[in-house]
Amino acid sequence: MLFVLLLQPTTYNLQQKFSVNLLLLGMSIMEYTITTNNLRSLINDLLKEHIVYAPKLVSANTVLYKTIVSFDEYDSTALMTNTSAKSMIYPQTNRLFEFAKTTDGMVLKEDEEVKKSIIFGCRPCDAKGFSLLDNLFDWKGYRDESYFSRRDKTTIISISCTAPQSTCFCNSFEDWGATSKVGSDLLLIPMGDKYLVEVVTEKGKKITEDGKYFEPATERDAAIKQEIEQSVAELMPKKLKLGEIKENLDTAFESPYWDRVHLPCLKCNLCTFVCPTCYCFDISECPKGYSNGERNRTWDSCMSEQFTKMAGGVNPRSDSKRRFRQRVMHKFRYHVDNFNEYLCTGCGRCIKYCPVGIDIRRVLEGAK
Amino acid sequence: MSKTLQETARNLLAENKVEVIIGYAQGYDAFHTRPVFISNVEDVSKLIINEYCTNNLSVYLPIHKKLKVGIVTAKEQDLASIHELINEHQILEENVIIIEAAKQISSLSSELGEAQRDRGIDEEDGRQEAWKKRGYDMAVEEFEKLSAKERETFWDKEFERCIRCYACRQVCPVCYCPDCFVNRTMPKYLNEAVDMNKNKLFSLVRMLHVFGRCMDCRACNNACPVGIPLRLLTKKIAKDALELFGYVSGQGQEHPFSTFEKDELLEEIR
Repeated sequence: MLFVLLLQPTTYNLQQKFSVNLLLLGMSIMEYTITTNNLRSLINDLLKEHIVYAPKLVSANTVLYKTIVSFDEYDSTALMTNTSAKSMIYPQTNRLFEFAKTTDGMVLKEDEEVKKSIIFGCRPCDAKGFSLLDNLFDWKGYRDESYFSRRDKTTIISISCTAPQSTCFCNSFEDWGATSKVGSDLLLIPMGDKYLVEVVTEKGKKITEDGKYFEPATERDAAIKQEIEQSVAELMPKKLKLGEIKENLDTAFESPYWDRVHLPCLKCNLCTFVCPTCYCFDISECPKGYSNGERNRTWDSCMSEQFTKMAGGVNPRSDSKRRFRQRVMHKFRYHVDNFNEYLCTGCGRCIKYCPVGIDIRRVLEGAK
Repeated sequence: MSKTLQETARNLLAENKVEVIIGYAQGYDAFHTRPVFISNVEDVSKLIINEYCTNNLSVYLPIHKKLKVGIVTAKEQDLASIHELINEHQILEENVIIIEAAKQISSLSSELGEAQRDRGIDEEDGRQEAWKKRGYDMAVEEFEKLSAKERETFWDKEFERCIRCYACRQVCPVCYCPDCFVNRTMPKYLNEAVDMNKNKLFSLVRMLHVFGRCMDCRACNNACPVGIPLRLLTKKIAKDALELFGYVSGQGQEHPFSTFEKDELLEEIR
């Protein structure tokens, strides 16, 4: 963490300003610090009662959220996991119930109760994805029990990032970036050999209540946090003008623009499956033997031809262009109309992993 | 190099020899390129060619088989794929004009480009090195030494993380079936539920389907978002095709399965 050291001389002034502010307001901020060693002990303690998911190196260049058995399995070097944290709460294959045919007729068996879990080392963009999914799965009086059974029992401990990649564009959104708290329960901001801990929710507070590993943050820590925020902002100079883009998309449905822009797209489901916000699903039965089976909810993708194919064989989005347009329009137009927020957090996975290098930023900027 | 390419493309379009040129343009950063469709002479300046041109563009040919297409090939395997598609009657030879950049960029440098690109986006050389030291990068020869049980364990571990996004299938030039077996619903061959066994079934059946047709172009390997080493399988089937049948795909040879006769059944296969 070389740059933190370099920044220290300039933090002195900020420090004084900040302490004055605190005195004036007389507020008690929920901020602590924790050393790396204490964090290790904390996670190892939490492992006794929770399932802990954390980024783990599973093969060359592949880091995924996996269940860990000790803190040492956590890979702190990766900026981002290959797939998003979405599947920890909204699994790709989610068993709704099992059924079995017996001599007394059909018997349904509900799934076992979900265990308490922790997503550790989540990035703010992934955590924000959960806040978008929360609004969606609890909309207009319908609350999706299957989703919330996991969501309510999961605590999200995010770690903010300090070195964005060329695919990152979280700065285009409100509540963006390195120190965004949206969706997290606890946010850790790395500062050399320790982390600044921000308590965001009651669930996060529970973890810090023990107090064994935490120390109250000083004004100086808060000042360093501001410096980090600034330095990350400087690393991401480009911003999408989302307001303008939305206005353009509102009138672009029939535009000839879509005739050309979709051409490289090969219609795999990759972009929607690595996305932290894509939520479309399919419900199907999976047989297990001759008389048993289970009903599953599995991710589906608007990129696939089967997505809109109807029983009679009619397919309203049969061609590549319509499917490509749907994905862009849903994220940046329809969802905004319904929820007043973009269905995207700017994690950039769809750009990074797209096998044909389609850059959604470029697609959006060109749309009119 | 890009200048010569642009000039060739401009002439082809100006003389109406092709309706569209499929080539490479600059991607989101210096380490990446992206496929681009050029049909206006003004746009030919977008075309580039360098060691980061890793896509196999011949995958677009069956999709646009009715058009006269000029296609840029950046490696030997891309060229072979086009010949394979012509052999399999998926595209008409007269509809394709090949702009061969493969001779300028050897397939070796393209492989180096892939490695550099991976590092370019991650800038975490250490991690890749660490991984290599652990011996997880396996050569076909080493893989062949494993017993059947060990191979099964190896692939179980790899396919456990597959998300069945089907990117490997979509980028494959010889996976052109409009109706893939995994998408059929009557009868349903593969359930929507994603687990290791079903993932393995999909990928291994795909490998069987492309046996002797796969050019080992690395498209599926590069497309996989979770880094499943599909290259190991494609190298193995290419090797088997050569050793068992003396067959190399994309060279205009008659496919071993179409010339097969009953009495030449091989001992090892029985």
